Amino acid sequence: MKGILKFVTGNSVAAPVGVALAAAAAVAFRHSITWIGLAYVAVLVVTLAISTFERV
Amino acid sequence: MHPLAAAATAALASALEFVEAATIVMAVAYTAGWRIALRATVAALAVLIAICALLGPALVRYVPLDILKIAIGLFLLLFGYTWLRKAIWRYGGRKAMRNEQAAFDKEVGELKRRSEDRFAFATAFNGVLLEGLEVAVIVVTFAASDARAMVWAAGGAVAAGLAVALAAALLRHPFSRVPENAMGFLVGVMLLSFGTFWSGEGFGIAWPGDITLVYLAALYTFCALALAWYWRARPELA
Repeated sequence: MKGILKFVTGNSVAAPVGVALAAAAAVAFRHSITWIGLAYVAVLVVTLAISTFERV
Repeated sequence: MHPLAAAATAALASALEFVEAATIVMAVAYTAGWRIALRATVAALAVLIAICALLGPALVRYVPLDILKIAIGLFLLLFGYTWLRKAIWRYGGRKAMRNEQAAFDKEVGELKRRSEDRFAFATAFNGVLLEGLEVAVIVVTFAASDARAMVWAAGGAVAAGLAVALAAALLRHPFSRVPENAMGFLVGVMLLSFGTFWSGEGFGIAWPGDITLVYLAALYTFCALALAWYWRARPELA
């Protein structure tokens, strides 16, 4: 199980949490055509930035 | 999505992973002989091809398209983060660049210490299987998104794998001049762009056409370069 998790997430905590938050943002903004895409991409970009601060 | 994009992503990822696998296979060939190394490589490749052939069509047939898009997109996002984060760390000086010669020397040392044919076979088999597994998953995810993409993605991966194998057979030396980090950076950007696009579609986002993929790739490239620059400018934090 641990091996599969490592294979999929590459030992990152920020990446799966950020992806889950982006999914939540998409669901929250599902009624707004403008905001749903922006919110989704914004959370994913911030996740990329935060994930580089994790331990190497 | 243009199928060439699937082929290019799979080919780049495949080339990069098989360069690393080739280092292990050559270390085994150097210490235990080419016969064992090649037998293990063929066995591992057969397992990888079986995974692609079984999983790809099964996913398309049995899983509803919307769920598939979300699942595939999320997988690609997580893989993309891993690839791009590593490339940013390397460009930013947080992680050492991969050195194929050092990896080769380490494998040779380990294989000489345990001079058993069984161990040599297992080393080459595991090396090819583990390095190729991510490529197999990438090919399967492309296949699940679009039936045409399976052929293109698999073709790209196989072509790159063959090119690496041919180069390895001719050179018989670890590849020390392959721009591995630049390739990893590109693969990371492409996986994140595809992952964002597909998972977004699954969540109901109406992207303004396939051109969105280009915008997403440009955005991720800009952000990744800015992050690499940030880390390079702050060596005290690295």
